[in-house]
Amino acid sequence: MSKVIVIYPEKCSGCQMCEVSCSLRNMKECNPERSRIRAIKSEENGQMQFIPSTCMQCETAMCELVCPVNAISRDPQTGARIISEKKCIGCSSCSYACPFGACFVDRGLGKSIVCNQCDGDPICVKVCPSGALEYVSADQVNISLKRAAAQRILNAQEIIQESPGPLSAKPDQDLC
Amino acid sequence: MGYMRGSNILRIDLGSGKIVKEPTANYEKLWIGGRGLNSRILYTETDPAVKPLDPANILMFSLGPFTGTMVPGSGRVEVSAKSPVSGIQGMSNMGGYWGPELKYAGYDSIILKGKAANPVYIAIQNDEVEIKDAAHLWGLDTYRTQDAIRKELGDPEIEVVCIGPAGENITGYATIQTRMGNAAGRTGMGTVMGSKNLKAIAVRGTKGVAIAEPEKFFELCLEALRVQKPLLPMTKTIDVAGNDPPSWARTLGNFEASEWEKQKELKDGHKPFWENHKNRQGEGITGCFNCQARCMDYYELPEWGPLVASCNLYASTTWVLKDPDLKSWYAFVSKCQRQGIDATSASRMIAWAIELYEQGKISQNDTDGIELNWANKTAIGRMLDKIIKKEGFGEVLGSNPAEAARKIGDDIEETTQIKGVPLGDTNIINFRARTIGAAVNPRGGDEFRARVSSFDNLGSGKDAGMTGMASPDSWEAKTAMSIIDAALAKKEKAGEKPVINQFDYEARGALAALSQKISTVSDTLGQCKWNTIFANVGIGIEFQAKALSAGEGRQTSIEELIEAAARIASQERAYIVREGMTREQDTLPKKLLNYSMEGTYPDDKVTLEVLEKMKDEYYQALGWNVETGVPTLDTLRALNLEDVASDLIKQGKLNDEIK
Repeated sequence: MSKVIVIYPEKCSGCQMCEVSCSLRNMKECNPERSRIRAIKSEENGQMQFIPSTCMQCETAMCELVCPVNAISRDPQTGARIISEKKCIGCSSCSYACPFGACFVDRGLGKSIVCNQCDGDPICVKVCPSGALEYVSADQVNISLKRAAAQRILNAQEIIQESPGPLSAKPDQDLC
Repeated sequence: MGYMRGSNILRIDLGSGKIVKEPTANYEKLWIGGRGLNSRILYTETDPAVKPLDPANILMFSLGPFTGTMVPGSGRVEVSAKSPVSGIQGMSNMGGYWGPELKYAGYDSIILKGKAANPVYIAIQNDEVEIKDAAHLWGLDTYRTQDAIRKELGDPEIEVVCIGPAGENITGYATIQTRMGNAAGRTGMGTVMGSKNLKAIAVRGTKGVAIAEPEKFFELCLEALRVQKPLLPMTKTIDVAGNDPPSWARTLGNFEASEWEKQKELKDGHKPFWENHKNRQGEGITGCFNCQARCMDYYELPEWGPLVASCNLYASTTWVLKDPDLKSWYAFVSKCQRQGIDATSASRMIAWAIELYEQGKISQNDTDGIELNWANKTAIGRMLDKIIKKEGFGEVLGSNPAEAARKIGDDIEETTQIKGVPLGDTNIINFRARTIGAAVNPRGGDEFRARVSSFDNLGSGKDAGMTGMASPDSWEAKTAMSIIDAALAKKEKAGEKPVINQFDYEARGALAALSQKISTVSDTLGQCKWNTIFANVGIGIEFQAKALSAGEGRQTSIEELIEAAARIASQERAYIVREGMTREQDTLPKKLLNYSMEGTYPDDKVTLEVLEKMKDEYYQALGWNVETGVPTLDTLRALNLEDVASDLIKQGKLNDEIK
């Protein structure tokens, strides 16, 4: 079964570790601009929100359908969409077709790039410090999201019942 | 572009509007970047006649080679200028997201001179640099300023550093802010920015950072993340702020005690704040660029608006002002961030005024009719407003400590300060490592630039040793222990009991010198020192040397990094010396000498004799003249600082060394 990256935006704290490590692993430089995952930020008067955005591995992939040179296919191993660098002409058709803006023409390469799931071990998931990304079997996305929703309800109940919560402090850690 | 670099230094004269780009390579070899580059340029491009608020003062923002890379905690920027608070070199290190963006635009430093005729801001997009009118931004708070610039330039990805109304008013210790909680907070860097009529610097960069050996660099960073992960709870604000009493790290009011009965109340007061963000509990709330520590808290209370705070902010306002009410804390800190003023200095100055008021040394005649008692929330809030606006008694409290005391009266002793910078709340008495760290800190105000926190308990005997040191095999720990061991052997030879604990002065001076070098390496490379052994987080200079080598594609050893740090220490010292400071100013506030505090260690005190012994050892360890505290000619020569030596000789500061 192919796997996908599941996103929990409410957990993202905007550190951009996914972007830095993705660009270093895949593009050999540290440059969020060339990362295949982005933490989209929105800030207004101090209110911060971040939403990670990457390839959702659509079942009916518009990128694949619109590509004029058939450069986009599915990796049989991981199920991730891959773009053939050899075939791609950098026309941006896929960028326009993608509902998430996930694929884009990299200005360094002159070719379109998209999340390739790091050959089955996505670095963004590995480095995310906030639990905002998970790499799960495609048929488990549904239950993962349900579980996250259930957890939110549990947390809300705890607040109502004024349970102590995980406010535990350990001695000897006062470092400042 | 050069590996690990933006490759350009951006020099802007705000008076003439002239913009020049200079290769960073001119400075890389000796000064690396960040703090090293700032300290060098401040020395060579200003002279003692330049006053902090003169247009000729320079304000610098410098990144290190690590800034913007995959190195953990790589969001750092070192800010420096001659400080209006201390009158010597001001230095403040800030995190956030602005530094990486500047690197991606192709710059390692921004060096600002002159004063704009009208309020302006600087807009940078890769190669394009523009000085723009900021009349419409003048008066906006620091959150709104960032919003307004992003909107005006039409790009939500833009990162901004800016001053608030306090900086515009040229209030004594104004900050430079970015995002929400990140600030170049200490030593009045926002005041200097305000004096130049500069509201903000907005940056957008898309060029990235080139890495010489990307695979190796990637593996090193990944391994560093893995090593530090289990140690990170140490850095979480909630753990620091939520400790049960006694909290031996803190002091109450104006150094009244090291414990506080209301600490429990303070801790419990967090609850309603945390409950709003339960989904993020234990998983990191917020923090800086490329950092997995997520050491800051993000609050969003409906009636109070959003706020980001890190650990020291809890204590410097709650403990110092003796008010455990988290709502007044929230209001105080939020105001400081929005208006752009240093919460640590402001609370210390207000605490000082409260004490004077309660002792009857000042009255409502002085305080504009405000009843300035401990924990009087309204009074404290009003006083903070007055400081920001430079109005009435606020103008006095917004001055530097010496001036403030002078303005009140001849017989008034100034607030607790070191080198003119008001002290924070940390307990610098009961740990000799902190005592000496604070006394010799080149920028004053606290111990953080000459003390490694994981060395605080380093020693021998029953109650000390390697406890708390996360990485006993690290270069840092081994080097520190070799200093301790040598001191122990010396004690034994002298027939004394071979024990060194937190109260003993032996070895502390040499450890402070080592600590200063370790901290300087992080500040120079552009890595957050809270991501290192400084705060017990496991990765340190071994990793830094390897990562720099892989990133630049040429070998840099630990020894070379330490030598660069020693060069920077001597360069910073030469600046202080040229400004007229001597070893006399490396001291504690008069009040804290021979002073014992209620609380955890009621019998402990630091005598002048002990302090002077530790200083001797510190100067010796750095190759400085023990009598004068001036770097010796041999030291300056060995560090390639011949030009500094000639200058000091010319100034008559190095007489004793001429052979």
